[in-house]
Amino acid sequence: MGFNPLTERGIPLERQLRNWSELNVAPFDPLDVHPYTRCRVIFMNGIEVEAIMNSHQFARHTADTGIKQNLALVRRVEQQQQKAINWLLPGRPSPLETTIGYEQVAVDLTAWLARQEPDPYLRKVYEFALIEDFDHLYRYANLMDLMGEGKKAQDITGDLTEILPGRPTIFHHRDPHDTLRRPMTLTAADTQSVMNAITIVAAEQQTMNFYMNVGNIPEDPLARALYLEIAQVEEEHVTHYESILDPTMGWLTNLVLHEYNECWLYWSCLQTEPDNRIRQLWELHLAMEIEHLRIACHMLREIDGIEAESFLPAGGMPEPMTFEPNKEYVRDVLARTAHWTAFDAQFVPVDDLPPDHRFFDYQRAVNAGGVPSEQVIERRAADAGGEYRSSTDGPHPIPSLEEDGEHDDYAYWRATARAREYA
Amino acid sequence: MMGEIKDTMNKAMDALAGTGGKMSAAMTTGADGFVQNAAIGDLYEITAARMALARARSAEVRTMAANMIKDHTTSTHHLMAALEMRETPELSPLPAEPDARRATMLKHLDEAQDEAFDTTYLDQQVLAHEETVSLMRSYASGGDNAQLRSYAAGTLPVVERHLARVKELRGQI
Repeated sequence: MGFNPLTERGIPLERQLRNWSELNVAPFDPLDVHPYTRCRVIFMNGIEVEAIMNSHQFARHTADTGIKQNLALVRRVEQQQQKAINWLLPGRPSPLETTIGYEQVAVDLTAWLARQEPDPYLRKVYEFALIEDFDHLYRYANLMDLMGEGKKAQDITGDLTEILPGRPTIFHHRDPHDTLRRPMTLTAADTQSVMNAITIVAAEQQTMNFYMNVGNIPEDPLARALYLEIAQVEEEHVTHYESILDPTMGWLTNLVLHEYNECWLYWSCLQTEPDNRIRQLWELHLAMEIEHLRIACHMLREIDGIEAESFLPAGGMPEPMTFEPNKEYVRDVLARTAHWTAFDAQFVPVDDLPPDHRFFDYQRAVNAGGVPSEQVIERRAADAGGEYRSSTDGPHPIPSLEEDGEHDDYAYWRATARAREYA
Repeated sequence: MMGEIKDTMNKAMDALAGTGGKMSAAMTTGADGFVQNAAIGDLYEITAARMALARARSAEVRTMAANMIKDHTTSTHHLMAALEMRETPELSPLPAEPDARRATMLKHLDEAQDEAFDTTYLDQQVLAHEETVSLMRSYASGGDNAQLRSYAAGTLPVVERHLARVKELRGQI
């Protein structure tokens, strides 16, 4: 039997409010923090932001005053939880340092979710975007080195996550129709699949929002350009992931799933957090979320006549979500799928696209006039005599993506060259 | 004269076959039958639209045909994705060729005289989309597989808009 928040007792809502000094927590020491503690803090901030925005969206779509009141009460506490988590991040690191942390979250979270995903199609969905975020980490790491911040990306990620090219960012830009996937159904999907999807949407959405807002902070034109290019890809990723959610479930069912998801993730953080002070925060928030879940389940029963137990597992939660190294898995995904692209909801080798496919039209439109994600590597190579890479497990799994590899042999470069000839 | 008579006879045969197809579609609630029928519908639509792109005299019909290729390719891709999911175990693979009834419709379209091509295509489109709307509607409400019901519910509004557009165009030509 796993942990079952439906049978646990949480902190009553009226005792959940905290004062300003309780919320203004001391930040962690950026020189001492475990990379995965930083990841959990960034990640759980994203989960709370999603909880808040989902609650706001629900409130805008219901006329029921009672529901609005419950949403407002719980949302105020979710806001406090978000502050207590996000204020753990110290002010000293630059947005670029935080960005490296965001991309490490994206890589190791997505890899873990993909490994746990029981549905073969949905696993492809995770693997597809995993190696794109992996590439973003490499591009930002090169930018960080160029910006002379006196720190290497590896100082932030440790040796836990490699920094190498993934599917190159220049090829992430696709026609919006080709970012829409097949949705699962709440009725037939495994609970793990539902939890995975809610989790990844929150995480990618946070990354999109972060780049949308901090991308214009650097003064260097190349840094600004790289942020805006990758911010566009993060929007693609949010579209990609949100399209696997069941679009037919009711608002209250959706709310219950969000609260259940928060319980799962705080419980997961509690299992794996080595920092005592931060572990206590996860524990406190879990006790709060159990009560939020109880309130949501009560509304679902009272208003929609649905028992949450009818779609949540009687045996308790899935395995705890764990930040851990995924280097071997990421390498395997790269070797198998770096040449894939998307055509509607299907994933296909880029070589299979006809040369007049809309992918190539979109590429021509946005990549005309230079591509920041390529320029950042070219400038690092010109300034420092080579690219910034951090490899712990041997050469790149795709020879053409090695630093001195035959780049023209890579499937995407071949396909775009063929399309250029056709045009 | 002989050509006109043949066009008329072909249209009558298509109409009769289309009515049978619509009745059968309305009763399709089994996953395998639904998948086969939906996939064959897409195959027919894409093949007929390619013929229309090459032969239709009306620019609006050609534009509509281009949209049919795009939208029915999308629906095929969604169906393929649905079949990859754990929610749809052990279903037969998608067919590679249309069935005899849709092959006959395509043959009649191919045989249509140039001056009758646009109306033949649009008349077939009305029949084919009425059948697809019927198929999607009945499966979305009573189908036996949740993932395929979701697919049918998502495809239904698109084919309903197609049908409305086809009828509008047919009224003008």
